[in-house]
Amino acid sequence: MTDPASGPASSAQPGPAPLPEPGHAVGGESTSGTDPFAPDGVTWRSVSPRLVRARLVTAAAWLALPFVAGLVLAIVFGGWVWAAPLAVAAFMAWIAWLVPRQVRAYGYAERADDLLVRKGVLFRSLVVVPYGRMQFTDVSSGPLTRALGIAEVQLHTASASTDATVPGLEAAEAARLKDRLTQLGESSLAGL
Amino acid sequence: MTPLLTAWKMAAALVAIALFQSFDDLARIPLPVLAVIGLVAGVILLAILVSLGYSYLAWRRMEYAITSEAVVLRSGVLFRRERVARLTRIQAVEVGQPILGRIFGFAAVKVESAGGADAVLSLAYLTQDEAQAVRNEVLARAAGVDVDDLDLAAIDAGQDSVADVVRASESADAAASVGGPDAEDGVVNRPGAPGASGAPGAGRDGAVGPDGRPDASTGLDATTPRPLPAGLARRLAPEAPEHQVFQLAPGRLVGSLLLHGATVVLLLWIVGVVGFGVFTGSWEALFGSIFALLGVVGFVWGRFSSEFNTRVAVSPDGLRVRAGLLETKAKTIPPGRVQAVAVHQGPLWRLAGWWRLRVTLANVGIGSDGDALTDALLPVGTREEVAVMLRLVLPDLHAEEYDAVVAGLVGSGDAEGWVPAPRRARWVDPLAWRRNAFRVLGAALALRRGRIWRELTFVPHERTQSLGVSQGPIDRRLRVVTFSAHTSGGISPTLPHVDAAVAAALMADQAERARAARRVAGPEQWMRHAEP
Repeated sequence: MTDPASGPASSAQPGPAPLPEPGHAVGGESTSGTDPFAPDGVTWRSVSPRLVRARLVTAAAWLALPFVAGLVLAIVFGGWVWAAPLAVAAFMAWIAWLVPRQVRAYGYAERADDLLVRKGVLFRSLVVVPYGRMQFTDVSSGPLTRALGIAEVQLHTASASTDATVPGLEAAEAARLKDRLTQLGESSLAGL
Repeated sequence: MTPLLTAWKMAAALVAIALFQSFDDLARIPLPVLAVIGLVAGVILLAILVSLGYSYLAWRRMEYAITSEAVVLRSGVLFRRERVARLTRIQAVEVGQPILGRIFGFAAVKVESAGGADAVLSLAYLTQDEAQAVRNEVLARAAGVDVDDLDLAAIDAGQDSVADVVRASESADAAASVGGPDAEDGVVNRPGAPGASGAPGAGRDGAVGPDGRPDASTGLDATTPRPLPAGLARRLAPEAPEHQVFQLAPGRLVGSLLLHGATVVLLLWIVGVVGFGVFTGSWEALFGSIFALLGVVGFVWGRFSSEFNTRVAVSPDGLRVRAGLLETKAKTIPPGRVQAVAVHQGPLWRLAGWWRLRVTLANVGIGSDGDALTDALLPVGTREEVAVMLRLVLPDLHAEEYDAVVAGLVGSGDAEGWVPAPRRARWVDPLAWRRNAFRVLGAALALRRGRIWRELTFVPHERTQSLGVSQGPIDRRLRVVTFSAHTSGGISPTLPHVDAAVAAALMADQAERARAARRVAGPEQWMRHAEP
């Protein structure tokens, strides 16, 4: 699953940075102006590094059961059954390596007329949502993310295929973004 | 009649259930056959009575009103529901007649709003005349022609100074008369009730100018304020004049279905299974696949019956699409409601030069005819008919862009301003890399795809909801991205293998174009163009 092109490039990415973070597209191809994932004159903001913890805890909770089950079976039967817990452990290690990269790859930018949301390391995507197209905004957080003080902001347009979700925002930042989006959406409201 | 019609469906379902059940019962219970039949018949009769009673109650409790702001429907026996569909948000109005409705002269009006398959306000059942009247009134009011607009019409007629004086007194009059008996609800009606208030259809013949609605409203003497009768809105809402532009010949529909992939698969399957049976003497494969075969037959039949005799007409209310063999539907799509247009051609249709043109409205998932997300405006048509339809659904399409459209339908490469995938993408898309292309038209973004299954999609600039690009590891190596324009209505036209630099420019330009197009987009009330 590792991509030789993005591997070294994204490790060159600075670690968890304070907000706002001036930056370039993660994966850092220096083709500024011609890279659709890094439009000119855009100041990206990154999401809270605490999202790493939230996602890792969730992943660990999901993988703990198969790991323990595999471990017990391996201890009981021995031999090749050890492959099961080892595979789960390897998967956990891969998740632990992947999640911080994914979280760092999340970025959003408020331009004058639209919001940009980008994500993904190996499979990158970028969505441009004009404020006037916004139908409603969701701010949601689960028990774990709430404990960590982060929330997820999701924009909905009239199109079901618009996937503009910004996870892992500091609670205050999430509220600010929501208010700002609502305000901008109202001022530039358009019909369907 | 409504209870009868509704109960009929319920009873049919119950009979079907009862029949299924009774097969088991007949096999197991050692009763005389007559007694069982009598029992079943009794249960069915009871069920019919109960459902009749329920339907009657439901009908009694259902009422609707059309105000200048919205269509309101109150319904429900135990759980009351009041649904308000705002006129400015109406995406389409459909008059549907099931087979029984055609026999007895009843119809249902569906007012479709944006927001999913459930976002329909269904008035069922009205008399045919009333359904027409309701359709016309809803469309007229949604267009911005209504009681409140009398003064506007007068201004249009050039009576500025007089009308200004008149406006105040008259709108007060209008408010008084409309708001009089039924408070703020306008005219409250009970569907199908004989002699319901407003006497639908009765007043429609009066005050209708030969040129249709605008004439009708100005024809009503706006300069002499007088009390307006309750049924005024109906008199102001004659059926807008229309001009038929397309009619689907039954022969062509049959031909198109014969050349449809499903039919071919069906025939090959039957041949294969029968051949297998003849050679091996085992017919299990045939029985095993009978349900799948029935499914295909059902699909083809559904296409045939729902698209039979499709007619498309133009009217000030928008496009009128009528179709149906047993159950007929007449759908009116107001101007500016089309969110995206797609033109398709399968490999077999290419032999006949046929295309299928579908439009997407903002209401997701309407229709049980398999095309869940879209309406086939042109079930099967020639290239010229496609061009005519495109001009109707994309009014801003310029005549000089016709060559580009043709290149979008049948062409490939970079002729006529199309931007195909870069040459390096041929490794991942050897067949269609020269077909997959986009072109920015004056009014819309056109995406062209596919070499064997050709597809051409248009997204009007002002309908673009958001834009997206995505890129996987192979794409990154090739410096290409997948571009998609998200539209309301569930489909998002997607173009793979766009040069990364081109896509970057396209994203920026397209966002700006969409912004500019939205600013100059027509009013939601499409007859209000004259408003300053």
